[in-house]
Amino acid sequence: MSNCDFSPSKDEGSNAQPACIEVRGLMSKHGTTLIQFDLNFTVRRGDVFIIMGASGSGKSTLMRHMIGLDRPTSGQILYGGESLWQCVENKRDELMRRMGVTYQSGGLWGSMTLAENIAVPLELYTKLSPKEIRELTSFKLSLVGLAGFEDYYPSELSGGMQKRAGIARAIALDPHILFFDEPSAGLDPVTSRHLDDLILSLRDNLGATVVMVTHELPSIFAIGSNSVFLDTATKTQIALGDPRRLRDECDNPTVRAFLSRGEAKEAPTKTEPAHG
Amino acid sequence: MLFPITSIYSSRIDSIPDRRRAQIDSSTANSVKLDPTPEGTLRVTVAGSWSLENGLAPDLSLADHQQSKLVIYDASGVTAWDSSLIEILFRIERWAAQQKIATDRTGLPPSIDQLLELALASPPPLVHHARRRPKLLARLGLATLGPWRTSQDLVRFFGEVILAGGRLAAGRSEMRPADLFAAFESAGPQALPIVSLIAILIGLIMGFIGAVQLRRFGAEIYVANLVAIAMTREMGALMTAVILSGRTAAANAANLGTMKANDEISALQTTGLDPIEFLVLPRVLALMLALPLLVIFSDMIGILGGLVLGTQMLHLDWQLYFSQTQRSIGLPDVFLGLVKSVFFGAILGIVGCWCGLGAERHAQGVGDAATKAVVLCIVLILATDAIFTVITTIVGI
Repeated sequence: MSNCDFSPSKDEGSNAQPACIEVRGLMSKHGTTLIQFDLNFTVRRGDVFIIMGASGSGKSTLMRHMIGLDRPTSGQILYGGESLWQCVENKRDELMRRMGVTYQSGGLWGSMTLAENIAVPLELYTKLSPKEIRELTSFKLSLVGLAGFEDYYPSELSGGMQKRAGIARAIALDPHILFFDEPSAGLDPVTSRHLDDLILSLRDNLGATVVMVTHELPSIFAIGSNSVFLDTATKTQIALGDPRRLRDECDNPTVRAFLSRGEAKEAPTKTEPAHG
Repeated sequence: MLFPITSIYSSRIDSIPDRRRAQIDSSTANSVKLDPTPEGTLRVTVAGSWSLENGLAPDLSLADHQQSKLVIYDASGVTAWDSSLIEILFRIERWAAQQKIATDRTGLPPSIDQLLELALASPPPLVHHARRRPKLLARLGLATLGPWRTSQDLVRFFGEVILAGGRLAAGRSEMRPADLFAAFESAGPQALPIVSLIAILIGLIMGFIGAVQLRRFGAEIYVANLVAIAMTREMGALMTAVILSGRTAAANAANLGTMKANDEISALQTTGLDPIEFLVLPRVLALMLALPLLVIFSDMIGILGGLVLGTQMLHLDWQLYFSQTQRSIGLPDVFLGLVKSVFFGAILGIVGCWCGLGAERHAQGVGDAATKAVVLCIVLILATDAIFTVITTIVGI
């Protein structure tokens, strides 16, 4: 089986942005079951990096390794050259604080209002006064289109609103790196599109790097600038690079089937790489 | 270049600034100045290094500038920024919109402008949730009606479970025997260790209290009567039910509450399965079967506790203690405890499941349901026990 590697470092050489996250030889096991092995990829600063693959291929597990929740069986995850897992606990906490994470089902704390949810990281890690925190939380909620919903509880909101509130909490501390687990799953196309725009806007304007687990093809092609494809059969990565290029040029049947919703064409046509 | 900063803070990926590093390099504090011009233009000058760690800008005296006709910005002195800067600009923009003052944001770098645009585009909510506490009188009314509605609802649920039981007796039920066995195992055999521990302690404690009093009259042997009657008529059933309300009723409430939050209950209904027959009935029946068995066990262990105390502390002969126990209680006493325990089992099962099915669909709701289940079960069990005591006194059992 031929693997595709269209990672930018090979094409663009020195033009590429500095590496933000490097994953080196990562292996992940659940008990004795192998989930993924030999994962090697680099997320560069300013990327919208997509982790894709079929259901059950270990995308969310990989993300949990990258955000410091679960220790991988072996291998390295480097943030700006610093290892996330081979360091003292304090160092890992510090690295984790620079990340903003949103979870598949929102992950908002149900016993707190939206304002309180967003205020928690601000109270913990800044010296802002309660009044300043109040102002900043209502600004963050405005950013995700939820102005005026400060005093609502998560259970009073629709799924899309909960996702957006999760993003507001993730960006509370202006993190360097944003992780999204299935941000647009279960949302209508229009809301999903707004969410894509929001993610791009945050990336461009706050200068953050985005890592996203998703299998929503429209989102992948609209905002993905780099990606890794996890395969369920071989339990390793089988494609790397710009998802639009993978769709047009990758000759691996699994990747092509995935990126064309199973309607795989014949031999790959050599077209210009679709760089947006 | 009119505003040199725009080239630094361009929104293109290849020139994303490292905001944090800039903060460290620059020691200039942030500042915001409002300069009104005679023509009615308000010039907002922001400068310096903006970071959440330095706190937000203080209150601006915007009210002094209500006569302004236009707000313009100058951000050329900004060396580094994060959301603390955008927040202050957002505050000014919102104020200007309220006062119907035009703003000209060309003085801001495009990335700041776009974030502002994003925040301002957020539509105001249709209805603003005013989370006011109801007035005292309204609270009083709600507090009075609350328990009444709760009891109506609970009685209706009791009725539904009884009807489901009737369908089971008629052989037209969807209940799966496997569910009944699983519920029985968790309510019965798995509760044996804790029930035994509590029963032996209760037997010892009652024996001790009795011994201290009876010894003064030289009537130590009546400790056997005291322990045997109290265990069989009251304490065996009562203590076991209280233990199971914390063990099984709370577990049922949390279990069904989580199932509801996960839409598992809805899935049962759409599949055509009645949640009461499918989920509630096996749990209720399991408790009605398990509780009497546990009570027999608990009675025996409790009497054994009294025996241990009588022989060890009061130095009574164990055979004497035994025959005194036999003489003091009869079958009616034991049956009274068992009949009660069947009722207690029904209460535990029904109330626990009712709390679970009525839980709100979030983590807090599941916790509340478990709490409510335990409190309500204990209250109802004690109330039922009191009713039984009154009835047996009148009837003379």
